[in-house]
Amino acid sequence: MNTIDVFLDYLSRSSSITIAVLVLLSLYFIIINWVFIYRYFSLKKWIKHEDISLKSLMMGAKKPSPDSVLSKCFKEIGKEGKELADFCKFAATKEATKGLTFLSVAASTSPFIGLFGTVISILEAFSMLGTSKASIGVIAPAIGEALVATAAGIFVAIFAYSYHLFLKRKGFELISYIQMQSDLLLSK
Amino acid sequence: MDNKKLFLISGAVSIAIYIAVFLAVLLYFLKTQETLKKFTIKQKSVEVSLVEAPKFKKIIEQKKDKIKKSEKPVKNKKQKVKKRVGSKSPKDEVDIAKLFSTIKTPKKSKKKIVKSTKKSSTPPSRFKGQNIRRTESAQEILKKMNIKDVSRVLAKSNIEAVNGEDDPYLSKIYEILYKYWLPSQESAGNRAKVMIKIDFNGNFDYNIIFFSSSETFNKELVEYLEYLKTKKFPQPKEGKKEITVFFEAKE
Repeated sequence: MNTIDVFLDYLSRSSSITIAVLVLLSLYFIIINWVFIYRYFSLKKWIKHEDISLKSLMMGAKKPSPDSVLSKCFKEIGKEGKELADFCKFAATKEATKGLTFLSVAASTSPFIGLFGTVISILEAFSMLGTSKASIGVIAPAIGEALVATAAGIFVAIFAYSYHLFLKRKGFELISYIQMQSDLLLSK
Repeated sequence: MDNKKLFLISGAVSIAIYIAVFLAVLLYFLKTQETLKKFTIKQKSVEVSLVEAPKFKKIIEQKKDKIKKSEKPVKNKKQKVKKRVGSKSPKDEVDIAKLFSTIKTPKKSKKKIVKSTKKSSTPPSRFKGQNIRRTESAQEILKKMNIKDVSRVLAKSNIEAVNGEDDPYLSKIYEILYKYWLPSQESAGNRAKVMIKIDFNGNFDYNIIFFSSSETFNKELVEYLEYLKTKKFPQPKEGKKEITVFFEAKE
């Protein structure tokens, strides 16, 4: 029996709700990975620019480097000041925390979604126990297969929660760099 | 790198990760299944699931008649064998020596033979001091029939070849399998799928692909298959033979 047969065999025995749950969790998994990879590399790049800008300011430069978000923000508005620096900082925070909400939602809901699929499968397994003279040998595999949905839910949640924490930390680092730059600029 | 490009690449990477994880999980489950039951179903393997096998039925009926005939001369009440339902391994059978110990043989020449056998084998203590006479004919009949538990309540056993009936080797195998397959009535109506393997020396081995829902039947089947391990099978020409067999106890 090859892998495709195992998969098809599982699908043929599963209910439509279980399949829907697994499809949803699969989508979650793809999206959280997508969000994480994209946001991680874009934030990394952004932090690198802010780090260079901060270093140049610390070295004595009067303006942040052109790649810095503060420089772009000041350029767009045409003014500089404490209020404007705060405004730019909030705008950067908003941009840096993009996708975090989805990761948080996925982390908290995917175990429940998986559990829902399991409950439905177990309900079906027990209804089978009622209608036919099935022994534990027949019911046990059905319950085992039902638990696949919970396992999938927990699996997705682990990644979603970890990604959420990683990106949150990256966002915090980025805002720290921007805050330090604005403080340095305003102190001069 | 452009943000749009990064977005697309990360999308592709995430899908690739998903596929990799999916395949890894599938392989893991496949491996778990294989370790539980190591078997390979070849395209050549023969599906066996008999419904009717008149040729073998006759053999069973003949055996039953012979058993009845051989039971008649034994009048000793103490030696009545209790009816046993359920599976019995060939090892814990009713002792044939005890069963036919009271049979009197008229010929003197036979008595001598009995004495000689008595010396060679150690009889059980309860028979000490008694004249233990064994009828050779009864022993021979039982040996030929290879039925050790005469009182066993039998269900109709069935092993049928769907493919490969023309193969003389396979028909020999079926004959052996059918000959010794005597499920109890308690396990009637159950069915199990077994992959049997015969190596180049004619040694028997098996893997149960799926059990039936009856635990009695399963126990009987395992005992029977273990018993078959002690038997020598005809050596396959191609060196090694794997056959899928359905064992069934008919109602």
